[in-house]
Amino acid sequence: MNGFIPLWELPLTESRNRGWSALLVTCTLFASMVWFGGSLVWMSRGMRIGMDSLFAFVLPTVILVLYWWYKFVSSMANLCSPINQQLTPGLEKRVAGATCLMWLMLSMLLATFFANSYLFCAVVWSVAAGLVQPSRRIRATLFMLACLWTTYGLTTFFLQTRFSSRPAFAWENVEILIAVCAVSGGMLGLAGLVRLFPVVGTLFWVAWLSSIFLSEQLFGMTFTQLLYLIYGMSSQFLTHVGIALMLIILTLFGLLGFKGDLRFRHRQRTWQAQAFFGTHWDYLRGTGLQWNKFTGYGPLLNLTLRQIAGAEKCQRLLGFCLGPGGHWAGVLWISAMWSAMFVLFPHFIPEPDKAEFAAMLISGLPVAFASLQAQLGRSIFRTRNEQEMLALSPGWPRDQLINSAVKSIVFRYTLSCLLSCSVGVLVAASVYKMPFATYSQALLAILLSSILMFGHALRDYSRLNSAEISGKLAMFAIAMGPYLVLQIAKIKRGPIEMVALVTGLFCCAYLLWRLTIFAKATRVLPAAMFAKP
Amino acid sequence: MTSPVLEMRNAFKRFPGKLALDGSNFTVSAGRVVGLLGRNGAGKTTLLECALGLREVDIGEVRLLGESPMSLSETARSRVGYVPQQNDLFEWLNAGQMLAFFKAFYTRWNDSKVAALLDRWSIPLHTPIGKLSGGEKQRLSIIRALAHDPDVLVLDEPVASLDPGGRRDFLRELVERTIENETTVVLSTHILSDLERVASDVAIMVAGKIILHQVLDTLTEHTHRVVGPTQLLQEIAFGKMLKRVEDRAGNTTLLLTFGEADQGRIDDFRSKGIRVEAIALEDLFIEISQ
Amino acid sequence: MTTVSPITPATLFSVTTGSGEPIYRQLVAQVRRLVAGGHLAAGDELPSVRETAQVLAVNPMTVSKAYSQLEAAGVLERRRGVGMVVAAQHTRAQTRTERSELLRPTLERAATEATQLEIEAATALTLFEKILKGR
Repeated sequence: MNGFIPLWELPLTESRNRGWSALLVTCTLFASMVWFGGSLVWMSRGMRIGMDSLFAFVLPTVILVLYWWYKFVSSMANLCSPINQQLTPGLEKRVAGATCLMWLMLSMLLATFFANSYLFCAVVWSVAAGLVQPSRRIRATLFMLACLWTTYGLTTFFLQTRFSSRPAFAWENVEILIAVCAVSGGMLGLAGLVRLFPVVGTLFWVAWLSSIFLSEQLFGMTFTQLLYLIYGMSSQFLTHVGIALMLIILTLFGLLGFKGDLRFRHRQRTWQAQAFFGTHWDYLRGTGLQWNKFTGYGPLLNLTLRQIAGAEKCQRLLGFCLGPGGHWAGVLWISAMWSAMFVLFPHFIPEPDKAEFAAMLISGLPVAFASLQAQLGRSIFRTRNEQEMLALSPGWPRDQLINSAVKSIVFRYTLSCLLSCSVGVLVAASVYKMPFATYSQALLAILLSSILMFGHALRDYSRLNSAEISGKLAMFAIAMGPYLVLQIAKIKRGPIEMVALVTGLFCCAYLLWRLTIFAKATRVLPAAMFAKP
Repeated sequence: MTSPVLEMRNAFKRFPGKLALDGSNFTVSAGRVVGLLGRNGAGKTTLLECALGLREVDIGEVRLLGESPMSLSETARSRVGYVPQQNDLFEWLNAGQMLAFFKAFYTRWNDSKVAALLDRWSIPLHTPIGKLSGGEKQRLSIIRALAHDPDVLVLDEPVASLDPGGRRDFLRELVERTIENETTVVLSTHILSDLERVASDVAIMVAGKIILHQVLDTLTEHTHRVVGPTQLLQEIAFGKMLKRVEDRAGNTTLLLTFGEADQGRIDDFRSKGIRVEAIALEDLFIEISQ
Repeated sequence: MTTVSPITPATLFSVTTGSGEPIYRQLVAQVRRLVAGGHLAAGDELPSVRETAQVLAVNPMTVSKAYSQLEAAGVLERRRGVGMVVAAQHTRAQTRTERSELLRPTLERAATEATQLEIEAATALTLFEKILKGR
């Protein structure tokens, strides 16, 4: 294909530094993404399923997610990508409603069937959605993290008071509550602070974290213990690794957040970022990305993937994930990268937790997947000009079949992501001798994500019509079906499970109905909008 | 009087280290064909991008079709056509796929026109756009912008990589648009002969400011180069002075705009031995933008 | 095989750019010359604004401006259903004074150049006479 340079040949080309930094940054980012997703999924381990935990965990999260959705998504729909711009106010609400229902349905069903590790899948996806939304995603991400953190803390608090032998309102619990508030409040506040005042905010963030650790050391607060519980892992070492990684990721987001703000007032103050990225900063700048309403890059991940999937400034199209200009050989490379990551990273973990850490990483794949999906749009329409063209084109297309070229590129991209991630999971599973249940769940999650991703991408880039929506749902059913059957066979038919199951099914039906309305709206609205008087 | 199609008031736009728009005022009324002139880096592209809402002005007010371009309604967007300066768009699609993709967005799409133009401009339908030549890409970009019969057409150096024949063909197409649909056209170009043919108005931009915006005929008709001894020329107290250069020999060159009413007065000066010459658009532009 | 075709813009007009003379003036002058010289007779139909604009690739407003000036000057007439035709009073070639008036702009330019070259009036006139007779 025209202009194709395999990723692994990049370090040998004239721009060696760029090649290496692309590799380095990609690996680091993928690792942190899968870690992030993995820790979210893993948190649910050991959490009991039951009315109390449903109440304690699901309800507050639903409220927070709803709040987040209405607070941020509506503005995103208006402001961000040219694709999102097409949403009209009425449809926006419908989409919001549909998504919430989808989320509810997933948590109910997953909570019922996969009592252990998939309770959080829906949360993971909603976080991922926050991560990958363009433009406002930094604020959204940080807000989501803060919300989730509060929820985890509160859940743990509830669970502790409910299941421990301690009395409900003992002073020790207040202590934990203080720690929870410190963490969640701090997160929330600092997210905003860093956005508004990059330098002061970052400094304050560091100070705040040190103070927590200091107070833990000086007054014996149970912060580490709390995190230990939250991560549900079997060693304190892992907890500390977790904290460290979390901090790195958050700092990354924070730094990138203020890079975005430079547009407004701190344009000259890039030195902090320069110090952070070192020589790679030039490379990152070399991608020519500007913070604007079309390309707003947010997380470094997007930046890097964009670079790999084809950056306009470097004038090279790389064989990554078979985006436009990609090559099938790219699947091999990216599979090797995933495998290496899943094998190498757990290797640094002390013996008893190796396999567990690897398993955690592979369960985090859906998050990385969602980010990849967000990348697709930027690699399909990757120049500013292209995005401008889209931004200037008006609303919904008439009811017609999607463009075959876009369809094929989305399909190839999805397929290559699916293949490469599966290879990575299987390699990690064989190296660390994981039980079938662990890696089969991860594989299924990937499959599910890729199907969702495919449908999502089709809707975004080709404007789904009603036939496409039904097709997407059918694919979803096909993907979920076998697994559901497997799980239903094992299910313990207690009253709580039955309630959850019925609620889940009801939501499912309602969602289908709403989606039909949505589909109809996409057909009817344009006619009404463009009708000549 | 109908409201202007495009209105830009006191617009400022700063890029790192450069002030691209420095208080630009620009108004285009319906049905006009406005040629935007300016040297490289004068801010033409930025002006057009701000006008379309592809960039946000830092300060100032911009209205396109009566709406804020940053939140242009669907109807307004379907009435706007844009040919960007760079034509490397959708390189992985071929021409047919790209046009089909865009066709889906518009309710109005002139299939016969597209087919005729593709045929006339002999654009290969099945070659990836990335492999087309610069001129072919540019023509394709123009076809895409014209396909939905826009009411407002914004063209950023649309003929830069076309040969003279292609340019003439493009001008004919543009002329036909203005006849049939009364399309409002804003066109930035460096090829002044083209502009002279099709433009009804000319706007000259220097360092982020529109310093001159006039009806083309009036501008070329009323602007003269006046050369003569400095002493004599100081007596001229009519018309509008665009530029004044004094040389060492005591002669002064003026760029002077005056109407029919002042013709008699200028004839008096002429009889005193002052040279009054008509000035071509190209010279005028170079003189003013220096 | 040759057919008698209606007057086309391409045979009628030629537009030069970069001269400093507005295109509509060029059109006006060309029509005036053709009418004065008797190449266009009364009742002759002129190509439509649209056709002219398209063939010459000039702004239609320019063409219609030229036509309406010619109409105001009595050179052309608007005839319902047909468009612009050469006005009735131009049944034959114009009077000498009228025609010589059309020569004025060119001579004016020559006069300016003569002044620049500091050629006296008598010398210039002799030269002009020579040129005229030499042809």
